[in-house]
Amino acid sequence: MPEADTMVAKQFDDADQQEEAATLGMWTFLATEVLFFGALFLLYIILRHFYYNDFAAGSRRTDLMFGTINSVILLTSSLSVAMAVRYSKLNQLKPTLAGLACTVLLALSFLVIKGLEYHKDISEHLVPGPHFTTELGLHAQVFFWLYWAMTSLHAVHVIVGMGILSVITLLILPNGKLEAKRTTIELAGLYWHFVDIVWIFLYPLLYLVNRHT
Amino acid sequence: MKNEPAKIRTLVTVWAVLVTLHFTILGLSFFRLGGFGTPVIICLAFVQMLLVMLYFMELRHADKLVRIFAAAGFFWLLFQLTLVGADYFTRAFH
Repeated sequence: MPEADTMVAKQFDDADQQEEAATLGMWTFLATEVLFFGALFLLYIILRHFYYNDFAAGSRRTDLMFGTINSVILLTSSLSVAMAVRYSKLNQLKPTLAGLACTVLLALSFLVIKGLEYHKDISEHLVPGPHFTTELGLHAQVFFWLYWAMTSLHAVHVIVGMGILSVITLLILPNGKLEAKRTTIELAGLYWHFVDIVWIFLYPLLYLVNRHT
Repeated sequence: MKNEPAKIRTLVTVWAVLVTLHFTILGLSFFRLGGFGTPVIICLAFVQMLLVMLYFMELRHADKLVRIFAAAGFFWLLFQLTLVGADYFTRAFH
């Protein structure tokens, strides 16, 4: 029996059917993630509608350089994970591992930059609460509540994605058997692209409100 | 078709377009576009999302059922945004 067939669970006819079911399952999970972040985006839209001036003032206090660099990092990490998926389909071990390792490093860079940004935000008293800066209007706290909630939840997703990609890399490394992990790499790639998509919308909504004034 | 690996040139081109769109969005935010600013920027972010979904997540080669599942989350989100938004944006609060 070929090795690939031994990895097919008994409820599936073949590897293709198993992969289809796994992909469908991942997209179902991602649909729940869309609704999870969607509720926060909905809250953002409504509150921004009511407190636009305070949202604009708050947004101008976010660090555009950190946000912009992190956007490019995440877009590039999407390319590296897409490359890893490509090479896994071609059963080429080294470039697959290179793509995965590159993605993990980019994820780590993202988190380090986010940490520096958070440190700067805290030192500038941009955390809602009794010590919130007096330079901004009252409802800028609402903007920053959303800023912290949305970016920290996104960061949790980055940490989870980075963990999954690291584990896959470490599981493949010892035995060099790529075939058995091909679908897992594809599914982890889908999750990672979703993390990227969330940031694609967070960036303009949190960093770019009314920047021209 | 589905399991055919993507071409390197395609992936790199999509990445280049994504980064270009990213800096276009950044540049546009510094122009006074009036009421059009936010919709234009969000439309460009939407284009970025579609590029990621179609090329990086390979939805353009996916089965119909997978595409339907991929669209479902956004479809329900549209319901959520429309129905809640319709209330908040039309109710007289003051």
